[in-house]
Amino acid sequence: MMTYRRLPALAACLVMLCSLLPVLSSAKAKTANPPDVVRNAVTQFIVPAHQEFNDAAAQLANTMEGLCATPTTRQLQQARNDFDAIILAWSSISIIRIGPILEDNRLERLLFWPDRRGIGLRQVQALLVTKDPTALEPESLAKKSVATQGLAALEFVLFGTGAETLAQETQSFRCGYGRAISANINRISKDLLTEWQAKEGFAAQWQNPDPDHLHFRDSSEALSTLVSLFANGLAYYDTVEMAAFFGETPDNDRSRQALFRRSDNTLSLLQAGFSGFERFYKVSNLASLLPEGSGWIDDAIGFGFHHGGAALDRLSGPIADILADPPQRSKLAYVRTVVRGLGDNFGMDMTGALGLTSNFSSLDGD
Amino acid sequence: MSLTRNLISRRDFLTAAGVSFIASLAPAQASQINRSEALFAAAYRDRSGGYGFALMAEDGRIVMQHALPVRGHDIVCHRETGNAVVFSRRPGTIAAAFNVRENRPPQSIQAAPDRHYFGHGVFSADGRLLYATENDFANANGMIGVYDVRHHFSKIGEFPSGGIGPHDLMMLADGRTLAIANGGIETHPDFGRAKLNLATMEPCLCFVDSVHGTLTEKQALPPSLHQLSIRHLDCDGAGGVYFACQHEGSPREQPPLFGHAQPGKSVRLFQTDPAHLKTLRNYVGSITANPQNGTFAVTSPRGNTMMVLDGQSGNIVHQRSLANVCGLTVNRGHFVASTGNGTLFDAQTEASSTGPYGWDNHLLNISG
Repeated sequence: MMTYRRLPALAACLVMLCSLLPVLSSAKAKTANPPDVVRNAVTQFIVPAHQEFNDAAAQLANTMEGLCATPTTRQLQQARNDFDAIILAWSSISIIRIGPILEDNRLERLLFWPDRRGIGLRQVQALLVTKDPTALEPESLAKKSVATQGLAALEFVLFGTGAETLAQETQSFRCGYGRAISANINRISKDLLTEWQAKEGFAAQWQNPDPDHLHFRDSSEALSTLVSLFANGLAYYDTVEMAAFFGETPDNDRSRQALFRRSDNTLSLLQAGFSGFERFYKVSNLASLLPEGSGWIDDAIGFGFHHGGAALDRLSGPIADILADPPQRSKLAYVRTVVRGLGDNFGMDMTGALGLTSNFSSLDGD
Repeated sequence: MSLTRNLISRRDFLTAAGVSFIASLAPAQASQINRSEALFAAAYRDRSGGYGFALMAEDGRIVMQHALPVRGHDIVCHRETGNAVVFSRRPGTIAAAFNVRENRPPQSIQAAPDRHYFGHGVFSADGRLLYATENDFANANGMIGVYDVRHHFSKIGEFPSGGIGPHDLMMLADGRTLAIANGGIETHPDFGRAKLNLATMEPCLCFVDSVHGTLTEKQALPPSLHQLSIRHLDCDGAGGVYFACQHEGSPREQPPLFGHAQPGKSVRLFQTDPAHLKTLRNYVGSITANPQNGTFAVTSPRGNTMMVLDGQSGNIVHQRSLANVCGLTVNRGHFVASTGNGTLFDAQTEASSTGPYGWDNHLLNISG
């Protein structure tokens, strides 16, 4: 009888088989063109994701106002719940590392991470000690270090050492700082949404490539950018988000380096991020562009999303506990294998099948 | 003065390689060398995702190849000795040394446990030392590792690069001064290739005395261009370097992407009109000078563009579209380019060939 522990290895083999045996899949014909697919991506995933992020940011900012005015344990819990919600919304924004989020250091201002040397933590702690009044207004906060104005900073305010005082002191500096951070995040999220919905600029050019445009000259460039979001995004998921805490051996694990471990959102971020890639893939309808004989790529991708997602769904608990529990840690190792396979499916298999520039010298750069 | 990226004349190559090298090759390969006027070297990826490096003839046919366990980046070669090294790209920890005159398995060079390579290096003028750009990642300091070529490329020292994230480096015509492109981007192997300090990055171009490892001059771009990462260099043949950049700031901005620097002179950025500049997509992947005719060339694989520019004015002499182009070298006075799609393209004759390997970002002419 097959033991449960062998399942991940078997599933990994199946991922490989699925990639290697095109005969297993049914052939698919092209049913869409590149602009359609990019338009799907923007209108059905990117804009809704930014709307959701903006909604979550507005809710959080509102709750922080209430917490500072009327600090109670219940209000603090509401703020923490809202923080959990915005992290889930962030998981989709994190996939879209192109266009508006690259303007004005928005990405770093929303999330300064990785921060291996603890720069952000030191700066946030220094602000709390010195009670720097310029950290209390979103306008002046936005001009300070990017490490002090985003989600990682807010996590420390709401969950770090001393956070319990938020439920006790009216109009405390710590709460005012958290309120300014949440207002700053809300403002950036609104700007992002506006630019993704604009009829001019990056989003519009991506959906309507033209030789005279600054960003996209033709459909091939537009499509390459879409595929690269998967290839590069999955590589980031594997080599940054997971590798930050997952060592080559259990002795090398670094749970304290995990993103959002203070708020115990590491696992939920990973789960939401992974399902975000799957949702993004489905609604963009990228598979419809695959030429005949390449349908196996869609099958392999579907296989990876299904089994990787199932493995993530079976995990529970704080990331330190997951890493300390061999069966759970083993599932995480399996997820990394799946993510790498998916990265190859997009970065090599799909780019090749779609006749795009291979993900070698152009998409990842050096 | 002979320097890395020097050319080995085909006659030198064949004379030095001699019978042993030719005899070690398959008949078709040997025939190819005899017919070929030039030999190029580059790192590659094959169709199954495997990595390696290869020597190829002008028509793109592979003359020699070796697999690598990781993705390679740049290759450097020393003219007199024929010693060559291919570096793994960042954050790789291995390099492979080989001799272009011998068809023997490469020798592995391992980075120190607390260092990784950035993908570039340069030989000393006499070929006895190899300098490599490295990352002291625990302290976020750029370093130049020094390796003794005659003692199996053992590391014998290191000195600071003068900035964060050193990428390319060149030995100037004095045979002593290193020009180092410090891209300014902090990375750490715990986080793969993630860029950790884009909001605060400070690239610089440093001139360092290679004998004493001391910084002799540090040249920086204006503060408004602090997100313009200086990445690649080539010697101008007159004591200075051309440099090429990659912009990490807003995609809406179009900063100048290449310039010229020389010890004792202010760094100079070449202005390009926006219509042409935008084709580079804020990313130059490679730069190569052609001192013979006073030009230099840049490539952008993101913009599928190759430009040849006047070395004095920076004016565009020629521009063409070429899918996924990045590698650049000079052959018999004109530019040759390679692409990630496996094409080798002669800019003068416009002859091109496409083989089974996708070429990495850099191309080296090891013949003459």
